[in-house]
Amino acid sequence: MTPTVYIIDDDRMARESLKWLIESASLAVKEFQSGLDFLEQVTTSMPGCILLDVRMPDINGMELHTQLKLREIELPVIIVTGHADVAMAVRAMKAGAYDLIEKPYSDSLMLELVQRAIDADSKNRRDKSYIRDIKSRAEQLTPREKEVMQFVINSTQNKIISAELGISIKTVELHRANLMNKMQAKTSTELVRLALMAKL
Amino acid sequence: MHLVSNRLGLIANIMKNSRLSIKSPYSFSFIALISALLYCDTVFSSSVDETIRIGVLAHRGNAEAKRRWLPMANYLSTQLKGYRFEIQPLDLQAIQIAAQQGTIDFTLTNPGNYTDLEARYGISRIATLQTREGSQKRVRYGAVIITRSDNKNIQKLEDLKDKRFMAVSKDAFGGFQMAWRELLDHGIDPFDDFHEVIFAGFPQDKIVLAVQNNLVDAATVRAETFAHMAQLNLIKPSDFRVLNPQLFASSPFQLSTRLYPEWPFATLKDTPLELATQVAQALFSLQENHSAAIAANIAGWTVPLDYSPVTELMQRLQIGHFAVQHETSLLAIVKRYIHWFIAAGIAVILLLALNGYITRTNHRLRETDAILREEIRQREASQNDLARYRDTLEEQVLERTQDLRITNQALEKSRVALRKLVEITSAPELNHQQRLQELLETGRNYFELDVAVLASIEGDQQKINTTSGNANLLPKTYGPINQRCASYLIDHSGEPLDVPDVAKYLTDDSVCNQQGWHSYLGIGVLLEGKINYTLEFAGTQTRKQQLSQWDHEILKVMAQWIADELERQMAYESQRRHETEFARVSRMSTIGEMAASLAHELNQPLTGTINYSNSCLRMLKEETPDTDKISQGLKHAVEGATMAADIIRHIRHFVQKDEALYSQIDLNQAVKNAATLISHEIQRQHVILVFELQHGLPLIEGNLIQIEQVILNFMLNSIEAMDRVKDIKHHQLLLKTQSSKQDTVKLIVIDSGHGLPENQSAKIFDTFFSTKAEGMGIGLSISRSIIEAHQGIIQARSLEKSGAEFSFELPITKTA
Repeated sequence: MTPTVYIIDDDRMARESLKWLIESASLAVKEFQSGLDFLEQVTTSMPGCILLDVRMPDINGMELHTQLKLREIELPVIIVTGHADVAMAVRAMKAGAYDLIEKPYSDSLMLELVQRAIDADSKNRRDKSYIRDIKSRAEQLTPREKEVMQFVINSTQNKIISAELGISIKTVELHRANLMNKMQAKTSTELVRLALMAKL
Repeated sequence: MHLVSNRLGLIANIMKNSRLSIKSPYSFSFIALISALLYCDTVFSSSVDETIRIGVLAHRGNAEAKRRWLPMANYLSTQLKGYRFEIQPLDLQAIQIAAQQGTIDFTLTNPGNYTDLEARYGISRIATLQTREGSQKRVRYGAVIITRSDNKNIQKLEDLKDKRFMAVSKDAFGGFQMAWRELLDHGIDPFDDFHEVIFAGFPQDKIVLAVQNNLVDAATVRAETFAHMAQLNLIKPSDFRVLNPQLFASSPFQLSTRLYPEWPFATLKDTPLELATQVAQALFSLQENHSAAIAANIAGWTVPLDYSPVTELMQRLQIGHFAVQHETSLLAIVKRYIHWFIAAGIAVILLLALNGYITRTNHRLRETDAILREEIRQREASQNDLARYRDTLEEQVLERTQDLRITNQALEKSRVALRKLVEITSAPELNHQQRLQELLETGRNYFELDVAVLASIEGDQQKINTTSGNANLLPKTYGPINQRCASYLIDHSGEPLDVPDVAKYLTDDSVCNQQGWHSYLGIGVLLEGKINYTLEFAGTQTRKQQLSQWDHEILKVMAQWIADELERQMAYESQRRHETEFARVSRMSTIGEMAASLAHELNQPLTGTINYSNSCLRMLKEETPDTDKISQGLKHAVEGATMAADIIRHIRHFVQKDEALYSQIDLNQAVKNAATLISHEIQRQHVILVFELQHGLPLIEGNLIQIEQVILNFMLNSIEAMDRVKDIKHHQLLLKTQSSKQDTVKLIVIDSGHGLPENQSAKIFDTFFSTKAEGMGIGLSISRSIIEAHQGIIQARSLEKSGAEFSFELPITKTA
């Protein structure tokens, strides 16, 4: 799916003009009149970012954030506000907003911000699929191989592993080779990186 | 002076104490004492001065004689050292006695009297009076005999037989005797041949007027009296005919008689010659412009003239000493033939006695008869009198009735005008300007003048306020007819300036003349310590006379009412200004409170415009720009900018300094404008706005911004009320307009808040009453002032279920 910018604003003029601006940068745009409309349609498989007007009649920015989190939707949210102040910015960032932009904004700043958010989202999505991949690799490990992997991650020597598990060094070496193969890690250092990433 | 009054007091006391004994043999000594006390003044003040008395013929009374000649006596006193001259006004008889007894030293009398005294007591003239006529000095005078020029029956003196004739008195020289002589010469004896001779006394003017008014057929007066009256336009010479005209090169007047020398100043026989000479010299040297000469109305004194023409006249008339001579000669005859007279007398007496005896009885009978006749005659006379009285009474009643009717008519007219004025000043349907207009119009009609102008005077600035009447006759730009009249009116506060004939009053080329006004009526309208106004009326015709006192009073009343009206209007305007300013300040604060919301409101379309414009710029940089799309984007950009401009316009319109101008307002439009201004606030507060506007609402007359302000205040008030109700997520605000049968339109705002605090729906429009933590509570009180200024009704009430209803009702514009 191509990354899409989701504009949520009840003001037609603001919404449509923003759509024009973002489309002029050759980005896909989807408009929503209200946060509730968006929540009805949103899925996890929609890449891109959200441009959210902070003043909404039915559901405000903070509430929307909570709802999105519940739905495990991690689209970066850019808050668009008419009058930003420090307190509001802090509240927004604490609530997990990606960034905050004040009206009237310069087009380049808006586009840059949108682009960064999209990039962040796609990186996020890439990271997540990699982790899912690592995790599925880890699924293929036998329980003994998983035990050995933990020792390898902690840089424990084979001799100590055999002593700890009460198995021969030869057996340890075999398990190690198998799990390295299943995890597609060439070196123990790489394995450590994969394990840290997937929080194995 | 003090001495004199003391002395007079003393005399008064003596008189009072001795009142009972005034007729006692001592009264003479009292008088002597009084005289001594009075005259000792001279003795005390200047022991050397000798008193010289001038006996003056007081033919016009003592006071006049003193007034005329006292300065002359004073003049002589100053000229002759050691003498104090006194004037003794005397009548003909008294002057005769004084001359005989020598109680006077000099005399000043008419020529006839002079020649008489000269013949009898040897007085002698030392100077003759001079008068001035134009450039000429005159020492002789004459008289005219006049009749009305339209009296065809009297052409010459002979025609005066059996006519009524008027003169000053039998003793008046110029005032009768001169004419008498001429009449005698023409065979007319005034005392036998005239139907009636009336001696009217002084002044002689009334004699001339008596002829003019046909009270007598002819009369005689001094020639210059007649001439002076003509000069002063008191009479028209052409109305009169001068009988027996005489021509004298030396007289500038028309004359009917010979000329006679003027009054002489004469010395008595026993007056020292030296004193007489000194007096004569002093008199001759009297200058014409000296106060003594002016007081005496003479041009001075000249050497004594020949008075023989006067003597001749006296002789001809057999008056004065000639009358005495005639008497004396008769006596002489009687003396000579006395025994004849006695014999004839006795014979006559005997005959008479006999005759008397015979006729006694007859006489008695006749007497009785006469008494009866007399009684009858008297009764008839009284009956006639009664009839005459009745007739005159009827006449008088008629006259009085007529007078009363005229007065009543005038009063009725005034009463009607006054009532009209009262009606105008208390008519509620008239506005200020109409009221002034009507007042002027009524005044103009009442005074029957063509134009009326009310103008303000500030320093030299004259500005027309209101006018009434023919536009062609009105001054175009500035006020009263001229500066002179304006100043007069302001200086004579409240006193009318009534000019029946402008040409006689104003000689300059004033507006008055330029406008073709011929009569004028003005009055100052004074406002306490403020601008002054003038109220003026003018007409194209001159008036015969000034208006009556009553009309002036009406004018004053008008001026007062106009002043009241102007003051009331000033007070009203200043109150309106204050209210308007207060309303504006309140709007400013409302806008201030809404600033955040309005900024957002403005930001939306501006952001949109920027976005569209930037997008279009970006698209233009592409290799093949999509022009359709770009133009569409620019259209959107324009739309946004227009929207922003609209919002700014609304705000500016709302906070502008309105000139308190009233216009025709569509209430629905006002509702829409207010809603636009507040739309974001409504959005922010999650309020749903519902309109129920009646189509084709009649227009109302009012101040659009202020009406919008009231609607906005209602809405803001409701929004805030609803904001305090947290449990309802979606509030509703209903805006409703409707027209009623009572010629009004109504706006109703219904919210879904908690309603009004109990028992406070009446107080809610009071200033500074607020149930809110913030806010001054001005909004609703301003709203009440505004609606009341628009003659409307404002109301607030709690609704039964929930929420409150605010409403106002305004009268619709009356279609004329």
